Amino acid sequence: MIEFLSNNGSELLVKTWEHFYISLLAILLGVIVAIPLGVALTRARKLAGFVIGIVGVVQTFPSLAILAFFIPILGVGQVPAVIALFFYSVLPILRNTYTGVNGVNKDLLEAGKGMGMSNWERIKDVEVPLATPVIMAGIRVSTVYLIGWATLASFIGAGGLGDYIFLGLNLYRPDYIIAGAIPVTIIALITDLLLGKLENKVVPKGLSNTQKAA
Amino acid sequence: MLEFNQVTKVYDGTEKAVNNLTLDIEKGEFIVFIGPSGCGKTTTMKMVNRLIETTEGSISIEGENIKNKDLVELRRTIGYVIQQIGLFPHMTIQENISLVPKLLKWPQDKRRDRAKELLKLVEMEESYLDKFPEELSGGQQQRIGVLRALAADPPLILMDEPFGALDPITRETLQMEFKQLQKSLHKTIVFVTHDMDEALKLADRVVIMKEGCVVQEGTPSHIVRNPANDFVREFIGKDRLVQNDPSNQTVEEIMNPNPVTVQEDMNLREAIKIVKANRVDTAVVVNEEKELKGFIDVDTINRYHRDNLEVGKVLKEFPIEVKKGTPLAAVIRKILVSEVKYMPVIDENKSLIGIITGASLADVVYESIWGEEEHQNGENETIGVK
Repeated sequence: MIEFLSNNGSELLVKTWEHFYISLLAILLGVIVAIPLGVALTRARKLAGFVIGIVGVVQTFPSLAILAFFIPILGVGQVPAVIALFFYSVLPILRNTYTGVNGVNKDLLEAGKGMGMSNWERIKDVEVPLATPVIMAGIRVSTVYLIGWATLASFIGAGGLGDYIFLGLNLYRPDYIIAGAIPVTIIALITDLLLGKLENKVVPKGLSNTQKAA
Repeated sequence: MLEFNQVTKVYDGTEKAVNNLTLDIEKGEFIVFIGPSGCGKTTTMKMVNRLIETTEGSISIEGENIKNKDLVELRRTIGYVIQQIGLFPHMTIQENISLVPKLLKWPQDKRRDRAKELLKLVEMEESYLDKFPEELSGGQQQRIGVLRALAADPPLILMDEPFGALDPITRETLQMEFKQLQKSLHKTIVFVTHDMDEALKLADRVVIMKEGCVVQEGTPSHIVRNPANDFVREFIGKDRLVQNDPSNQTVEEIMNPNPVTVQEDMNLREAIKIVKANRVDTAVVVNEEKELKGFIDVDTINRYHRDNLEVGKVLKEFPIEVKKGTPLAAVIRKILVSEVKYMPVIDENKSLIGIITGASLADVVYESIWGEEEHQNGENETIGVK
């Protein structure tokens, strides 16, 4: 192990970084798309079931198939990897945003409406802040999954810790597999921890513990 | 100031929630819509800030049809208080109070000053400004709910059963506070309730509705004296007896002036003899100067009769005492709300002059029912003579 680290230490760091940043980019894209979409769907209930259904179906596609599917369109490398992973990040965030915003107490919305808050003001100042605990839960679930799946990105030449795992598989070298798998787990754990801290910051004060848990 | 002109609201094409309502509300008037659920009172109110749109007819504020105003702007000029309070849990009290001023883009310091000023109106400390709603009691929360409606100083305020979810005692306090507030601020208030007591207490004018139509409108005393029909009479119900008839009676008129008393320094055995001789379950304890000390009841006797202590050692205190000259109406409310069985009446020296019991209260109620029937018979006879 020590021998492996002394030979590959700096490369390991680079690959860890690559891995981290492919996942993060995919999550960011997911957040940017899924949150507004989720809010929009609460305004178009009839469409909501349909859209969430479609996204759910996408989620069930085998991840290797999706990665492979993007090769003829986008070639190989990090861009198709990020885009493929992005598809997986959407569903949990979308579903939680929709559920969270829908779950905001209707009396509060009526109060806001009656006082003259516009639709946008209600979304921005009431619905999204009150739904943050649920939205954040979706982001955390998404992130942990994505960091795991990002190992497959190596398959289409995006780099990351998956490189070690595939190399280990091809060469029958368990040390390579371990060298790839352990950092993935560590990144996932640390990221989840950091997101937990972030959650405490972005969830508005005044929401009681019971609501946070929801 | 606020005019309803032949307003009709139809739901689902057929069901008329509000039927051809025409009403003029003066500036500064406190108007209460009341009726059983489904009578259209809430629909009527919500049409004013267009949370519900009218089907036919028009509503105008200060002569201007509300349909010609921008929806959001209209609502910002009308205060709105709901039964569920609806404070935003993620905003501080200050942010909640100054929500409409913020929407109207008031500068930060002006908003804070306004919030402070408003808190003073309900005698809450400034330290509440930075708390969150969940740290406040229900009564305090609804006080903030009312202040929030007042924040941008709207001339008109709509209130949808604002005190309905509070416990009776808090409700009463808030009603009193709010009536005071309204008198000093001269706001026009449209208030919806199903509680006749509340309507009679607060309103300048009561509008009684049934099935989308106005059954009767008028000042509380007018309605209580001249109910238009059986529906109104039944709807006013026994409140009227309690509120109207006993209003000029005082507690002395119905109290028992010779309650069974025992001396404070007697021992319990002597006291039991007195209680037994009079066949009562409770005796009032006084000292030599007839000053009220408390009472002993079956429970006390049962618990301490073996010890044979001095009465003064085992007595219980009355939860409520009333001074002589107190209007009966006030006492009846207290008895009904607090469920005490007896209430001693004392003079200015704390000396016992009598006691009010459930029985004396029952007499008042029966007398006024009986009195009313007699009164009606009288009317019939006159008609017969004609």
